[in-house]
Amino acid sequence: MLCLCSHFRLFQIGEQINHGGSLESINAVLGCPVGMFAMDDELKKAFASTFSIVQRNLVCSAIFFGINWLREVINAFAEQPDKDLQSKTLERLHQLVELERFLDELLQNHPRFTLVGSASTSASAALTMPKPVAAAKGKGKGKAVDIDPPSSSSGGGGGGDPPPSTTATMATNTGNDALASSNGKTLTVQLLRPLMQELEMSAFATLKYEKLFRYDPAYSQNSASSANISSQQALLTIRHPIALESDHLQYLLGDLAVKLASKLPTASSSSRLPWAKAAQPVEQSPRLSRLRVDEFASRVVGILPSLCVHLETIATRLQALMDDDGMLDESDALVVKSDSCIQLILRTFERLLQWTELSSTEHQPLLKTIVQHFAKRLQPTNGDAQETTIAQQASNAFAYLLGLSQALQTVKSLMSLHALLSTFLQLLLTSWPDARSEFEQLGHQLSDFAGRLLQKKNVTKETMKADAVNVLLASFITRHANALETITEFVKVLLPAFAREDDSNEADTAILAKYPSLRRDTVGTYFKVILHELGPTMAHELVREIEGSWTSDLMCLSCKYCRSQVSRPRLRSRSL
Amino acid sequence: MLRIVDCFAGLVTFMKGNQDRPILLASLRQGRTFLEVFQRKCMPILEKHFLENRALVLDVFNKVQIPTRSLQVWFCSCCEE
Repeated sequence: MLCLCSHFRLFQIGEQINHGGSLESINAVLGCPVGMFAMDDELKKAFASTFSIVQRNLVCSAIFFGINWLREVINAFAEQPDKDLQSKTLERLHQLVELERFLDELLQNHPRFTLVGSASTSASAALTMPKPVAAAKGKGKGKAVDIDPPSSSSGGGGGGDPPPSTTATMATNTGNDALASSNGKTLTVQLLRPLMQELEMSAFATLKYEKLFRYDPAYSQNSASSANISSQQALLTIRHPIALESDHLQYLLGDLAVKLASKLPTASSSSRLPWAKAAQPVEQSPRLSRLRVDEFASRVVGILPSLCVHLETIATRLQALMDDDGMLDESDALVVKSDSCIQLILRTFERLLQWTELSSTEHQPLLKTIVQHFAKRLQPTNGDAQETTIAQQASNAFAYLLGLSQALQTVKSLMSLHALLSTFLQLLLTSWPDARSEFEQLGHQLSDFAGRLLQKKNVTKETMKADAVNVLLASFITRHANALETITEFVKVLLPAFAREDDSNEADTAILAKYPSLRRDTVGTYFKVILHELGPTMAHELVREIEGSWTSDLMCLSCKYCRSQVSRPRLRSRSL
Repeated sequence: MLRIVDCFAGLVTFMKGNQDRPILLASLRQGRTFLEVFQRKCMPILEKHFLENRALVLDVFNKVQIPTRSLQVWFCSCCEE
């Protein structure tokens, strides 16, 4: 069992090399059943009450190996173009999610899980086993879950393969982290994931699948028994539509988030304060570490259009769930799942845009591709798409993302969208400083969006916390076309109305109703942000005044404005 | 500049009425930053324009001085306590 996945991987790589990437000749592996006991409530009860430790280990290990097998099968077949294979891969993904969920439930009653076949004596010992190299050579005591083949051509893995001695097992190093974080806590599948077979980037091709159908034998028999249905019609009706569901999407995006965190560094992870404790480098799994950073990034960019489609589909589905007042029942399981998916997709976009190298000249083509992907969602490609300037494309991309705000319903997803837009705008300003004036217009749109969020009705203490208010208010004021006007309104109208809240009068109530996010717990945040923005606004206004009417009197500021104008004739100084 | 100084005065007045901990802390930290910016960037300009716009400059100083003094008094009393 321990070697099964590695053998299959070797086998499928050989097949791909011999048949130009096609796995037609071994596609039965994808469809063949996996012999497994019934995973029902009865098993769960017996597992919790009557099973011995050995039996529990056997059950959990069987599921663990089943998960590994399914992961390897998905890695192998996900990029196959055949529709039948795609639908079967999707079913395998569904089973994988179910298996992991079931294992998670079982582990709650079995925190000392020991993998059967492991030389170590407990799960903890398995997690603290010696280094992979020792394990691969058979000198140490641990288990060797996987020894990757020296060559990887499946799924375009490419890149220079490290020598075999360094590729052995992905389990143990990350396992130490898992153990460290699991001390005193329940063992979960999340902690076991680093020990499992790795999902490769090829597995994310499942996100690109379009309309697929699944063969249903029972339905086929009913259809065949009907004499009125022609054979062609029967062929159509015996297939059920099958699509990527919220659970699958969450599963894949969760895995992608871990990969993004380990592969693409961000400014926040690299620019730490010197006295702060250095961040632990995130361990990269062996197959992921073979991909070059730019290769990995371009593969993630490749799935962006599919993620956009999923995002739009889920948002449309959520809109359909709204009641007559335009409100969503946020306790509904479907709403929670859909909203979680939306947030995951938006965070994936944001995480990609946060990559520090993306604004460098070397990776500007990749950034252009991202911008084009988003822009195309707003305006489908036509012949002269290439002729539009990058500023126009960026504006379209920004408009597309901003337009999503109308489809999103919950505050959390809107906050995620705001963070994404803010990161995107910052990236645009850094990458193309020549087009700054155009991008500043986008900043005003972002400010309006933040203002709309602050003025959103039915916002409670739970849905919009003080941190969120802080971010939104800062964005609202700093990017506003007339920041001073906004600050004045807050100071002269809003805060005094809030101070008079106890002696309630209608005028004050109307004013306060405009900003439901101004509450007892957020008034300090409002005060802090406004006072904080007052200094920069004053500096900005001064510069504007100087730009508007330069005088040699203002040379005392020794700023670039007066230095550049020093040879001009003296004008009458402007009144303050 | 007058409007900005007005806003600063308005915020300090608000602080006097709402002496919650977050508000006091924000006043202490951000108020100092504001005054530093004022001292560094505005004072030289006001100095240059004092002869031409004496009344306006004095008005600005009046409006800054009152909240600055309030902040000082308030935080000195806090330190003593």
